[in-house]
Amino acid sequence: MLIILGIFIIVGILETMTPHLTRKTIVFGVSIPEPYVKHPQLKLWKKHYSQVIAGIAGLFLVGQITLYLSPIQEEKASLISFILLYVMLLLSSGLYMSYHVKTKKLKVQEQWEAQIKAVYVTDLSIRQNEETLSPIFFSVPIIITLALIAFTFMNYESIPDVFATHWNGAGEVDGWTQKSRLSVISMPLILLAIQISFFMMNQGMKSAKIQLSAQAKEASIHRELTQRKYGSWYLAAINFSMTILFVVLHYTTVILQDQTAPYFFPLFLVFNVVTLGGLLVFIWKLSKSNERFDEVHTNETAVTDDQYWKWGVFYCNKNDPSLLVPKKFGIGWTVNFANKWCYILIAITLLPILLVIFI
Amino acid sequence: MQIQLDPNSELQLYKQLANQIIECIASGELKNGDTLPSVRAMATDLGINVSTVSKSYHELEEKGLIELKPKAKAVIIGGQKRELEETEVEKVENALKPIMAEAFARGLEKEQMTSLFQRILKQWK
Repeated sequence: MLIILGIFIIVGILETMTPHLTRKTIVFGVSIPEPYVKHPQLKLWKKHYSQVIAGIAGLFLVGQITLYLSPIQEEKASLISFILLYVMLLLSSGLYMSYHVKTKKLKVQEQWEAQIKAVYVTDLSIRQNEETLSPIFFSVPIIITLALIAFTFMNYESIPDVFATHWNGAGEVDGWTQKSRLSVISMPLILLAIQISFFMMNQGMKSAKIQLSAQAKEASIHRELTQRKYGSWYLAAINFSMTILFVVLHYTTVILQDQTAPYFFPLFLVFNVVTLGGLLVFIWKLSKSNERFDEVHTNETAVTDDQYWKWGVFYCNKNDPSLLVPKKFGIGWTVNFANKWCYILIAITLLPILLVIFI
Repeated sequence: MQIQLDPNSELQLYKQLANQIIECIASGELKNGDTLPSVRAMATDLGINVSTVSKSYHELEEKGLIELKPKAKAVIIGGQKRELEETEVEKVENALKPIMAEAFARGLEKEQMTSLFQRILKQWK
């Protein structure tokens, strides 16, 4: 329950801060020419968005705590709180869409594009200073998992005919699985799929476009490099803690036979702390590194890619070989739907979820 | 070492890119042995076509300023002090002559031209 509450608070903070976390030249998924970044209307809209979302999140949090204190069954309560969470996400996406349309309209009405000069910008040394982690960091967990699979098969004979695969909230076993060559390694296989997708994400981040701005070059270099470096570190931190979690889970269920609860639940808590805490640190680093446009001298602006975005959410550009691009709204990355590798990445990411549901 | 290309300029994009890299070599920002970003990375970061960057790099290679190596590496070989061959001096002279002639024909004084020359050269030391 505390974990759900924690997730709730962090999602609330995240949703509230979102308009202020993206680069200044993108407001509600619309590219803003650099000379117009400080437009008062945009500032006002961002503020309104944050206020409304903070209000909703606050209201829902109160509901959540009431739920926590009320005598409702725990299973039911957690279901309701997940529904609340999704309603909050839906409301904020609805609000985003309405501001997205408004911003687009303002841009056309005031004819910003007619009054600017678009240029292509980059820096020759930026690729050398780029600090995305090397693929080795993402290969090691994969090797660990492969070793775990081999180890499991080596001990196949000593694994019991049925083993635990599902637990209730109190940590008691309530689901069992028949032993087979496939079922004993289903857990490492899920882990492997996630690790491979992380490997691809890191490589995608490395080769993705480094978008500089025309008027605040130094600041935008700093922002881009920070975002990549900490994004990659965060990904590695999740990867390693998840690997430890899964290895322990697998080892305690299949090899040690039903000794999962005392090991797994403390580790699960640690995993959540790393994931959520890491996210907060990451956001803090990002918001600190965001560039400012204090001195805008000319009407120059970096060329934008709005024509390849649908609603500022989906990106599809055949001329761009990149697999990943930074999101236009919110932090993180999204795929280039014109790159065929993206479907493999999506499939690998969805695979574990499908496995969990159908097995 | 910033690159900025103007899509509305008369000069083609590949030419602009080549010129700006050459200026970086002249000013010493890019030294002998430095590597340029790969063609692909450069095209991605600028947001222009891969073939445009490739054309630019090949022109620099023809001029003997960079060396294209396998694994998409482009290494600077220009910029060091060495004895120039006579044909190379001649090439520069041939390229410079029409520009200077045009300036002279437009009515630029010889002294103005010398100071202009000096001013540009000063940027590169």
